[in-house]
Order: sequence, then C-alpha cells, then structure tokens
Amino acid sequence: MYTVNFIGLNYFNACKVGERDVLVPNGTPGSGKDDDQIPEHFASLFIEEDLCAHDDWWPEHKQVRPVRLEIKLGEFRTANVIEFRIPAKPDPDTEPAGVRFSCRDRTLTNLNLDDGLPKLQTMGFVLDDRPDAIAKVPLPGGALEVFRFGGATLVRWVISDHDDPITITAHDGKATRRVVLKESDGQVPAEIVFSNTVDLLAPLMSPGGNGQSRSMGVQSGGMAGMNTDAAGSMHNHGSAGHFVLYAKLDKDRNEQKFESPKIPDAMKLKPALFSNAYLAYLSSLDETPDPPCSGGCC
Amino acid sequence: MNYNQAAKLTPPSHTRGPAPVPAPAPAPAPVPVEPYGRQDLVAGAMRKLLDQRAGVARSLVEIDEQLEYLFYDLSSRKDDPQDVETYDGTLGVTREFVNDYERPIGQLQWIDLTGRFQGSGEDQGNVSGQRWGSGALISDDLFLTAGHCFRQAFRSWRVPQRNGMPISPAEIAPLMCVCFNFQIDGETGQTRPEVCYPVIELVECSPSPDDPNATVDYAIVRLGRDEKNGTLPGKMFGTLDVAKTDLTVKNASLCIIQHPNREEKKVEAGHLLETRNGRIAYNDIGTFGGASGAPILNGITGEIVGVHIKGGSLPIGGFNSGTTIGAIRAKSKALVKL
Repeated sequence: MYTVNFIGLNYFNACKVGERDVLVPNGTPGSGKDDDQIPEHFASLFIEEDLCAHDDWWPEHKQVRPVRLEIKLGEFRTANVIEFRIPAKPDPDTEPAGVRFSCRDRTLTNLNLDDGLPKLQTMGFVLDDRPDAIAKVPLPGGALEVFRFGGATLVRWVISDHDDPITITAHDGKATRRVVLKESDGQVPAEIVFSNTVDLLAPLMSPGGNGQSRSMGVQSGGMAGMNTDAAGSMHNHGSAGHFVLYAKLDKDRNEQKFESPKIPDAMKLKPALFSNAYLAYLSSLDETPDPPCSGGCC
Repeated sequence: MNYNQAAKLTPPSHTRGPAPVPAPAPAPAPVPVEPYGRQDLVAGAMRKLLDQRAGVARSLVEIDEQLEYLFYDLSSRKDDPQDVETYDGTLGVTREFVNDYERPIGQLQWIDLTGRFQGSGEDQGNVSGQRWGSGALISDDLFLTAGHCFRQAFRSWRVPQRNGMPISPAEIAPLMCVCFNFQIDGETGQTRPEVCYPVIELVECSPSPDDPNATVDYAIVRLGRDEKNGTLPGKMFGTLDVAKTDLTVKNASLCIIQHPNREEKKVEAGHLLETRNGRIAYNDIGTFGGASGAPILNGITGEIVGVHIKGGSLPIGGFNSGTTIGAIRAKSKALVKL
C-alpha cells in the first residue's frame, strides 16, 4: 500500500463515463492575462530521498531539496526531499505529460470528493477537448479522500495493490522517465506528494526582490532552465487567488468564471495524517494567511 | 515528531576488544556436494518465512494506520477552535474565561488600497483588503501582534512596491487597520458588525529591516480613534494584562483566542509543552493561517505570556510555537512604559 497526496491546483476529472484522471492546470509562465500574471506554478513530485531506489528523471528538472524540521524547540533535523518536476510545455497546445503510478487496483472509490472539493461544473466549467494541462494522472483504482491540510485541502489517493517496487513514470511526448522506489514490504507505506503550487521551498526574497522565487535556490546538480523570471508580477485576483488557473482547462478559457469560487469549509474535513517531511515542513510555517490557492477541484 | 520511516534491520555491532591477529589462511577445503539440494530447501524455507513475515508486518502497518485514523476521528473534533460566543467550555478553559478575555483581541487587516500606488513605478501588490493576522490590545491604543505580519516578502502575497522595492514595515503598518467584534453573535448566529481602528504607527517591530535576523518575532502598533465615536479601542474593548515573566511550568494551561483562517474570532486551549530561548511551544492547541500575532494567554490568570507565531502541531506530533513575553520584554521599550 502507498499513498499519493495531491496538494495545490489539481482537477479530479470524472466528466465522462469511464474517465478517471487528475488534470493539472498549466501554471508555468504565460499563465493569466497579459497584465495580470499569476506567479509560476510547478507540477512536481516530492519524495523523500530515503524512499527512492533509482531514477532517470530529466536531470535539469530534479533536485534534492533539504527540508529543515524542528523536532524540539531549537533542535532540528534535516530531511532530504527530492523534487521531480514535470517539464514546462513548449506551448499550450502540447499534450500534457502522462504521469502514471504503479496501481493494480481496478475499482476507484471516491470517499468524499463531492463534499470536500469545489465543483467546477457549478461555475460554468466545461472541460476542453484540449485542456492546457501540464500533466494528466490516470486513476485506474484505489481510494480518493479529501482531508484538511492547514486551512486548505489535500486529496489522498490510497493504492492498495501495486507492483513492487513502486514505479512512477512520466511521458512528455518525447521521452519516458521513471522514479523507482525501494521495495516497500514491511515498511511504513510510502507517501508521495504530487504538488501544483508556487515554489514553497524557495527562500523569501529580501527587500528589493518581488516576493516570489526566481530560482529554486540552486544547490549541487543545478536546475538550469528552471528559473522563473516571468513569474515576477502578481496582481490581485480577489478572493479567487490562484484559483483562476483552472480556466486553463475550460473550453472558453474564461478566468471570470472562477473569480468567486464557492469553496467548501475545509474545517469540516478530517485533518490529514502524514509523515512526509515536505508536508510536515509546509505545516510548520509562520501563520500569516495563505491565499486561497491550494485546493483541488472536482 | 518522528518523521523517520520504519527502522531498518541492521546487523549488530560486534567489534569489541583488540582485533584478533589473523591466522595463516588454511587451504580451502572442497565443498561437499549435497545430492538432495539441502541448501535449496533451506533457502526456500527461509524465503517462505520472510514472505510470511513481510505479510504480517504489512498487515500490522495497515492496522496501525487505521487505528491512528480512528483515534484521531474520535479526538479531533473537540480539538478544533470554537467560536468565542458559542464556546462549549470543553477545550480546557471555562466559558467565563473566554467571555472575560476575548474582547480586546482583534484582527489585523489591510485597508482597501484602491486608488493608491498608481504613480509611476508604483505597484499596489495583491494584499488590498486582505484579512491578515491576530493580536491584542495591551493599552488603550497599543496592539501587540507578530512582527512577521509586517514583513516585506511573502511566498504568495506581494506588498505594495515602489520602483521594484517593497515598501518598509513602517509604511506597511498605516495601510492596515485593526477590527474588533469580528465574531459570530452567540444569539443570532450572524457575524457581528466589526468596529475598526486605523493603524497610525508601527511602534516596534522585530525582525526589522535594520535587524532582519532577529529571532524575537513581535510588533506593537499604535491605533487611532474610530470614525464613528472618536474613541480609542481600549476604551471600547478593554485591554489585556501582560505577564511580567515567562510561564515555564510544563503542562500549564494556555489559551489562544485568534482569527484562524482569517475567519471570525475563535478560541482554542491546551497546555504548555516547553519554554526555551525566548520561545514557547504547545502541541494541543489548533491554530491556522491568520492566527499569527494572537496572544498566548495563561489559562488561569488571562495574562499574555506570549505571541503566537508558527504552526507545526500535527496529528502525528510536532508543535506550534510563539515568542515568550520574556523575550519581548527584553527588547521592547513600549512594554516598560505600560
């Protein structure tokens, strides 16, 4: 058994009979209106280094990102989390990268997505035949449940039956890349994070910066080509925050439909349980408010 | 919190005492060939037992996970913040306590910036009108909150800028106001009308541009009079007392009255885990984004013993934390004058 934990902007698609997947709106540069940019969002897997056996991910889109966790007051532990980013699309019409997780479950159980996530259809959303998604994740089986994560939501996909070792593949139309986890027998179930958010691990810019990350804080290995100069300007999207990025999947590409989303009260959900270091880090930040950005949709 | 994965089996250490002197290696004896394949049988049996062991271990892990979920199901609901006026008295402090101390606690908000920062090289940012943090009145016009509420850089927010530079904390503060009474009316179930006061001055703030690495996180702002009655907020909503010294008694009762998720005022309570190096930790008090700056109250006396800063308390462990009042007192000139 293992889990995939979705945070950020992810659309759980069940529009057509037999269709079950997650569509990840493309938040790479060029998002939003010309004069009203939303900061760059990255679709990434975050997996603790200890869990990874080997991979052949795009080297320029992979980085070990140390996460510092406070175990007791003033006592810290550093956990290495590997970020595997989905490469940016060359243009909006490019097919989304197909991201597949080992899964032999053939029945998909939806425990509470309809109650816990906002419904795009009620906002006039019509799924485009060629949505501008950066990634598409098939959901062949398992169980989906939405939890509270801070003031937002996290959708957990539990996969009970799968090949071992667990393998994640991503195909961008040209190449297929893999991440293979260590054998899972007898271990605590692996927790994988699939995220579509701004870069939440980048150090905050000092005065003179723009409040947004322009790079991933390059360490050994580098992340050439992943700078985010176009992410600089960010304007007020009202109560919608980054929610309007869902327009990337809409037939009309109309952001106005998504400017006043009705978001179910996350406080009514069960809090998420997890041991993933990246999620633990996100839970330990200063408690200034988050913009209404980090919820999935169905 | 133990973030480690399950311990992996490692061979025991057996290097004790001086290393033995190596004897001359004997000539290798011929390995007897067992016609019935005994080694295969043993290896097969071992594989079977290891498979069984793995199966049992996997089942135990799954059972443990289910137990964890069920346990949290049982206990979580009562541990969420509750609206101050409908508080049921079960979180660890009494209803009377909450009634006595909730009024001077307010919400820091950005004012409507429409029409401002329209000049050349100016940018309004994306914070206009946003509900921001929490805090408490400590005198008729002084409001204690978190220093990082006046920070110039955030991950997803952008404060107003001039020529590509965020404005200073001293300039940020007067673009905010503090609103009281933003809470659910216990009788009607409706949100009460807020009463807002302008921030007119950032009196103290740490960290600051002059001392960006300061570890003490707090701020004190001065509030003006309300437009309608011309009164100072303390005259209308009262003030809280500030403790003279740190609270250091483990398991001491604590209460945080806050605006979690930027919503109406709520109460949570729990116990002190630890006080160390100017910080106070607690792991059974639920807080959320927007609670930054909320006063940490002594659950018996109602005195402010700290300012809430960070999350981190999770169902599986971890803790939330704030700045101790001792650390603030060591730095603040305004508190000395109170």
